[in-house]
Amino acid sequence: MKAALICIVSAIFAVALKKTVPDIAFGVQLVGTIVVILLAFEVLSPIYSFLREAAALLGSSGMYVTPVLKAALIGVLSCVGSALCKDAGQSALSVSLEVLGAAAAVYTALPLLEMFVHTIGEML
Amino acid sequence: MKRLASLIALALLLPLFTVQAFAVTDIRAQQSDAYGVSELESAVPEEAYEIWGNVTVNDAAHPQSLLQSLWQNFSGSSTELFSSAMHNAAEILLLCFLVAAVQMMPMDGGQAKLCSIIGSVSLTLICTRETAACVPLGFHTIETLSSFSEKLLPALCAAATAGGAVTSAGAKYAVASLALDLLVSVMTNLIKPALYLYITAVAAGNVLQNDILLSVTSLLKRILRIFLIGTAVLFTGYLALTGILSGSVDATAAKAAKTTISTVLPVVGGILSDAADAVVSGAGILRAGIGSLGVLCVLAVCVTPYASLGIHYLIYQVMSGFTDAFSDKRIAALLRGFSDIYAMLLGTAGTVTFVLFASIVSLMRAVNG
Repeated sequence: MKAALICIVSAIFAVALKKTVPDIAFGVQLVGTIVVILLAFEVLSPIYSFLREAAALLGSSGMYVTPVLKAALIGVLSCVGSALCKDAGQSALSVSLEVLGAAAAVYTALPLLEMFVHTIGEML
Repeated sequence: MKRLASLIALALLLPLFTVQAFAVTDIRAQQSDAYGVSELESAVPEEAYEIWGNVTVNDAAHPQSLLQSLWQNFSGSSTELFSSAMHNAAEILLLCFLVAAVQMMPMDGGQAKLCSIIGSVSLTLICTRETAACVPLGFHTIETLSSFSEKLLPALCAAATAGGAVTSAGAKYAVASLALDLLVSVMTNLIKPALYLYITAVAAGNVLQNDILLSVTSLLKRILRIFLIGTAVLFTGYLALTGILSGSVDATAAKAAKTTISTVLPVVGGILSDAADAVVSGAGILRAGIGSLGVLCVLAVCVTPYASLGIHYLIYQVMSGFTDAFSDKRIAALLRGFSDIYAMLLGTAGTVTFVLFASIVSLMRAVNG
């Protein structure tokens, strides 16, 4: 509810200010996005700790769960950042951020991928 | 006076009974040595030894207590197996939920696919870790059964031959040992690598989201199924045919021999025929004991691995059905693929067990005229 209200207010302000002062309109949009993302983190943090606890309880010590969570987080952040860059008219930056996001996601999953290749290699 | 006479008569007759009893015991001991019973008893598999300790053919003749301890052992180990499999299933389901949740997050195409692949890798690793540990278990069972059959079948064949099944026991033993040798070598050299290939194809096909690899898995599955069913049908058919043809020959030969001995040698012939009957019935009792020990040992070897494979198969089937409802179709397909691996392992080990069981039962039921 809080997040929706912030989104609507910042969107109204951004649209109203876009024609006269586009810099401030973008700033409002940016602040709104950051606040909403922070709110999302607030909601996501107990879910994250629950998943970590559940994984630890099951004995996998987050080895399988953590890379997936990190990749998802990187994906969402790079997606939002890329959309912001696009809104600011910076397509090149947007694409760069997406590439970086993909690379970072692969990097977090690298131990998992190494283990996968090792397991398959052992079987063959 | 009468009492004294009867006491003297009893004292004179008693040694005769004792000698007869010793003779019967002696015959049994000689038969046991001749049929390799002591070798068979010392070759009892480790799994059976852990349950019963030193078990003999005489113990196996009264299998109730042995079956009871086998059941107790099975119920204890199956609880452990079930809880371990459930633990693994909970880990997989947690990851399935996570992957499904990640797939619902608002990301553009590339990032979403990447996250989905990372989730699949995670999931595949958990499944592969468990399944790759179960493959050696299945093949260890096959190898144990094969090495035990090398002692069991000759002993059973010797007892069946002494029991009058001269032609059929030899023929059945030959076909059973040939079939087992062939099966075990084909399974170790062909099916085992094929199963690992199948696991790899399932894992890689789902991670890379490649349909060609997935169709390779279905082809492998079909080939294996046809091979296992074909082997079982061929073996049973051949065994039945051998039993029918050579069994009637044995019965006729035994009857003819008895009639000839009784008729040609008027007084001694009857005694000889009765003595031969005693030897044959002794061999029959021993054969039943050997067969019973064989069946019990096969059960002891198979019960835990089969329970483990069966529980895993069922749990993966249930999980694939469950994930089908809320997750990506590929994840359900991945779990179904892994459940198929357990089914194939069950089928592979099951075929060897079936062949061995059929051989034991067939040799136990060999006609003795």
